Amino acid sequence: MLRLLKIEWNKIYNYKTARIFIILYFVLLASMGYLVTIIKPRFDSINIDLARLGAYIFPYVWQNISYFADFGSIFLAIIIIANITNEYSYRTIKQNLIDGLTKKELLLSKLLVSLIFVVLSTVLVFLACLGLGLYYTKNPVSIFTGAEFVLGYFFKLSVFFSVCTFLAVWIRKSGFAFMLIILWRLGESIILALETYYSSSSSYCVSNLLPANATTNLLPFPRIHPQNFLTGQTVFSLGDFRAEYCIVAIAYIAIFIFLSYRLLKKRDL
Amino acid sequence: MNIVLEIDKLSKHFGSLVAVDNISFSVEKGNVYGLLGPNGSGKTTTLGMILNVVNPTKGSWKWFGKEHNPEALKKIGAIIERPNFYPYLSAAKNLQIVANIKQASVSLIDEKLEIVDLLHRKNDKFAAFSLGMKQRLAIAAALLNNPEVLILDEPTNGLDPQGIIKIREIIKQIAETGTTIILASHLLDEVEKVCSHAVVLNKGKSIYCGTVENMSSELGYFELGTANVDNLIGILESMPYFEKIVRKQHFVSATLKTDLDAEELNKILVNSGIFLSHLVKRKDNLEQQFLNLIKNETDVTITKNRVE
Repeated sequence: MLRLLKIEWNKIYNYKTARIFIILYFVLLASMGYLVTIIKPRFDSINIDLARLGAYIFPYVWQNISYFADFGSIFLAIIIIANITNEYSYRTIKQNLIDGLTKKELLLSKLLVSLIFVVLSTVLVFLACLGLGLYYTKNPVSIFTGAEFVLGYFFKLSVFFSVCTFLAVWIRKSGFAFMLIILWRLGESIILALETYYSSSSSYCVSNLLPANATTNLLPFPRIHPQNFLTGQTVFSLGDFRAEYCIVAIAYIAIFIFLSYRLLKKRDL
Repeated sequence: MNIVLEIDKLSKHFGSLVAVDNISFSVEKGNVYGLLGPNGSGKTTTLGMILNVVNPTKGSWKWFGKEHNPEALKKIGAIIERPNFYPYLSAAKNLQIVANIKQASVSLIDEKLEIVDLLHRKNDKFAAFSLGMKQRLAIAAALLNNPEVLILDEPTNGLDPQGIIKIREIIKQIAETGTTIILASHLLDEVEKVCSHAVVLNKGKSIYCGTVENMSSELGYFELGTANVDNLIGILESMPYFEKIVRKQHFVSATLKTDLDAEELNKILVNSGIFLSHLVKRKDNLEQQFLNLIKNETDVTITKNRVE
């Protein structure tokens, strides 16, 4: 395990672009707790202070910050995809195998990098939420209510990165892999929208089981009630964390890892 | 006999194309093998299979007497086709990755860079290297684990004459340490200069496997020069050893039918009153032998087709 990490460390850390991206990403994520408090978007000459709207108080802070932090995952996706497609374009994947790395170890080393990214991001997001919550909540009682959205964040990243890994192994060209990622995200939203539109309101939408949609159920868009602003109530309310989708997420992670492995195994280099 | 590699009826099909067709041969410890064949004869595919990067269609192979032996690759150093490294990493960092993969000691890096004369460039990026340097770095990488077997696929491809000589010297040096070497090449004089054994492939089939010397069944020929050529030819024709005697511009070429020493021939001719100014016993060079092998193979196929 340590051996695989050493190998990957040399490959990624000494790659200037990747290093800058990674450092930038984690610095931004770590300082997110502070940065979000100085962002005050303007609407019609009104500065919206999210802190005063209660975005950072328990329990809403867990969902809001996790949802917001998820946008950063595209940074890591770029690095994960490039780290795999580079092996193909430099043909080092062939040399690595000839030198005695097995295909299993090769995939494992790539997955390890993703796992470290995911765990580190999750820890930082957790700390940011906790810090903001403690700072802004007047009388914090049940601090960890709503913290399950950080778990949702963890699964969302994990599924996203397993798809990235699979696409990178499959397509072998970073540009086309990115294009497919975008198409995939758009495609799922469109399918869900169509299904919602054409099905009766009570029935369950099967397209919720698609990978991106399923993980969105673990970390949905924050619920905002602008009308409450006028009456002085909290603008936010806590979304539903649909724990059953954790199983769907785990299934997808397993499927994409398996598919990547099978592709690697079957293909001649 | 200590067999390092044993290939048994190995085949690879790419769709309808048969790239490697039922190849079997074995490699003994300590010898330098030339894997010969024209372009597209299946050399690289065969090497790819025994190095686990190409999945075989049929057949099996054993490294060090064991089938499915991924650990074996750590005892092998191999370069296939062209040097593949991370262009943004320095030579030393690239070798560090290789060392980690092979579980070799990182402390060997400087030593191996010294062998291929790249120590002074160790901190330069791979992307900045010339082709010859890249090729040498690849050899250093292949040597990192002090391999028992070294596999080189076209190591001098695209190099200038100095580069070729340098690589050849390195290969000879390594061979002297008793490392088994498999050298794939279509450059025959390359192989002739360093190899003791040869495996010849043609159209995916192996048509010869053995020592370079025995590759041709011919006994060779003499080149003889003397003042009185007519006299010489007369005497040669009266002897039972030759199947063909040809007069050339400066000497006479006599092809052997039964084996005869140069010393023996000289003695006979002196006794007959002929003093030679020129005496050489030759065999066809590898190129000629190789072409003959390939030609025979083709002839056989043609005859077969005719019979059918």
